[in-house]
Amino acid sequence: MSFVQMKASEVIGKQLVYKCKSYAGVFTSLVVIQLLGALFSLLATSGSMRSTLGYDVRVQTYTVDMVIVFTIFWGFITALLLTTRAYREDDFAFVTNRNSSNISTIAFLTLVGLISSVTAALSFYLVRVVVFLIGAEGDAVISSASVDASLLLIIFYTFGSVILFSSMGYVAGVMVQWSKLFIFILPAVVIGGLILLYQPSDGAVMNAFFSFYYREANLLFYLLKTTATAAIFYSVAVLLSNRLEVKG
Amino acid sequence: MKAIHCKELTKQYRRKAALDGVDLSIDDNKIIGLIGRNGAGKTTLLKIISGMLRESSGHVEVFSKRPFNNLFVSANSIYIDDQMNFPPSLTLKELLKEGRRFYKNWDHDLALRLFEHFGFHEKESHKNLSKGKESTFNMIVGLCSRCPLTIFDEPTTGMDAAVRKDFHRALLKDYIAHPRTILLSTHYMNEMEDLFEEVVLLDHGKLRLHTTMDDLREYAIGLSGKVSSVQPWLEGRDVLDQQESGLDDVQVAVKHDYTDGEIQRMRLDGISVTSIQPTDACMFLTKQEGGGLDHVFRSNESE
Repeated sequence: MSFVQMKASEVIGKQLVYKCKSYAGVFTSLVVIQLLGALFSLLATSGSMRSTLGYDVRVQTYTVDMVIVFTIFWGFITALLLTTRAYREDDFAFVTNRNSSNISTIAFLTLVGLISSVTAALSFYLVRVVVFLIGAEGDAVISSASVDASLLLIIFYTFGSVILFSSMGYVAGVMVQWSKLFIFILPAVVIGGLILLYQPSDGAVMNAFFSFYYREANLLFYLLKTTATAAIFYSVAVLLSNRLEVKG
Repeated sequence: MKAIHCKELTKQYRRKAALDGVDLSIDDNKIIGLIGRNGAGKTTLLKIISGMLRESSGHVEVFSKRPFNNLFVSANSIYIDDQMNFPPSLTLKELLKEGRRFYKNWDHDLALRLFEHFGFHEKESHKNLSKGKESTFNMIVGLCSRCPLTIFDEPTTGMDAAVRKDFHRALLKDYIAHPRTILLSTHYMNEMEDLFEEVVLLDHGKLRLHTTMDDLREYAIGLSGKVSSVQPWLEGRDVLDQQESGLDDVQVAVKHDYTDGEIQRMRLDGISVTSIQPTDACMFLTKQEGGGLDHVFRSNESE
């Protein structure tokens, strides 16, 4: 019997295609969560009314922030889910090792992160159409000038956050697979840490932390910061899972 | 070339040692049976060989490489058990296509023909298969991947007798056409013994026996007769099992290292000499200490 040599890159590529085909649930949950976000966007509106001489002006503001927040949260949960036993064993039904399994999952998460960011940004149009449909006759639907001009910006800002949070979910998931103790340790550390960070001088530390990412005006720098942080989290996850057993 | 080489291989779970210093060497292109009682460490050994589990200590090599986390070993071996986890969103046909993408030696024609033969439907999902059907499908994947090292762990779980027979024939036909190392653990040894070239017997995490099937057939003989006439022949021999029946009759299974002349003389003494089936030999070899099941029930009655 002849032996087969397979390069790591080849296996990763095959695994990625395999994952795109078999993780159908990931896409279903994305659709559901974004529709839910869009629904919330329709409800959560701020209104104002002005009456001047002779006519009333009613202004209602809609925003798709909710869709984006939900998408980021979805990225976290999806990454966490993909580290669980059943998904890990799916990989090992065919050719793989831990590195190729990890890298292909990370590539998959990045890919669906991009897709979800695009659909999150496009949900703006969905909300706009629905607002138009449910509005009374004569209502004018005006989009804020910034949105149309910067759809790409929204996509990439969302993308940065999604991959950042997926990497967090992934490393958290791998830690839990490594030792079930982390189910208790991780929430304690994260929540405790948040409380501690908010303590001194009205959350100055926390604000500094957030503004490091979210006050970054330059898109390129923002993406650099988020992907670099994600890369750190992912590396930790890969190192940890290289010792994990399958089907133990 | 050695397909598998283990030295002092040990696997420790929390307190219990599942494998305890196993030394094992297996040549390539043979069908090897892995036999042992429940909990003897068969599955642990197979999972270490296929690189799923990490050895606690000792040394293990598959095609001269350490299997854990090794891409070469993964590409050249396949591990099939009754708990295969396939993604539920893919249909059976799609799973076969994935097999073709991943395994370069994959025989898709054969896969489709077997798929047809065993009456699977294209759109079925692996999750909804019955136990026996699931094992049958896994077997198709294992067979068609044509991996130089093919590992079946209890492949016939839940299969009915007819399918088991088909499986044995399919395995043998494909093996003859494409020789490779096939490692197969089973509890149905009497059905499989014609398949095996060698047998590895594990007992309590230790290697009890590694021999050819032919040797195992002659490993032990059964002697039965009067105690007084059988007893002298057992001096200094390795008695595997002894059961008294009637007043002074005894049935003994003993390791076969008698000469033909000795056998002749036994027969003249009125002892009936029988051969011991490999299945029984394995059972005697891995007998648990402490009197067996009768003992359990006896102590119950005396209370």
